[in-house]
Amino acid sequence: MKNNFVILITASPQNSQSHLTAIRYLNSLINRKESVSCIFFYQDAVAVANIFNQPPSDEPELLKAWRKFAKTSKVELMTCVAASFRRGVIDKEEASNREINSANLSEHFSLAGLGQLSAALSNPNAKLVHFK
Amino acid sequence: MINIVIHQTALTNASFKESIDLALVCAAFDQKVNLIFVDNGVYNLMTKQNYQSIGDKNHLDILKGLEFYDIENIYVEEESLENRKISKNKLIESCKILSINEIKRLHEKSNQVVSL
Repeated sequence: MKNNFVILITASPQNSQSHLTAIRYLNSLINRKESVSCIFFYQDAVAVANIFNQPPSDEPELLKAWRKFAKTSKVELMTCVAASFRRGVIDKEEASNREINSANLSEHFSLAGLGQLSAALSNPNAKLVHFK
Repeated sequence: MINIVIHQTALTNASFKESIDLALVCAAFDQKVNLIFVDNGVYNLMTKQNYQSIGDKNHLDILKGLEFYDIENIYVEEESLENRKISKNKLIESCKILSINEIKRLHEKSNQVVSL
């Protein structure tokens, strides 16, 4: 039975090195040709998709690292819509609905409902790996 | 079957709310959901909470309404209650007490365990 990896990231990008670990883990999954069905950002992890984050120049740029991963792996990065809005990460559509000047959701990330995580988890081969 | 484990109080951070959101969505997608309260998470089940006094939302109402969304299995860990000297009659009626070992067996039986 082949595993269908579901990657859940809930760690804050500012307070934890879990994002770096997750990217290393994902890269090795991709190299081993494992199947990754879903990469889902929930809770404080959604803040990594905020383009307004400007980490100091001598610290790792997590957003850049995720974008690079998304570009090379072609696996979609999903951020929970409710968790994102609660933490001030909004896309163009929400910005225009709320008459806010600019959106801050990075490219390569898409807003998704928890239903997409739940659907991925209900696959009988789903193997959940959680970075918190 | 999915087990969702709640470790913290609703007042600590958004984990409680976001665990309940996940539980509701999984139930809506026809998954059998077990909500398991352990550690300080058990405080969420106490009936005498007064959120109004601190201007917060009443989180207890969410728990009371869960059975209408097909979440009927609310479990609370016996040892966590004992450590905190909380007796069963202080908790909402819909929760069932399980020992650590019973919870372990429940994890073994379930397809996924999520602990936010």
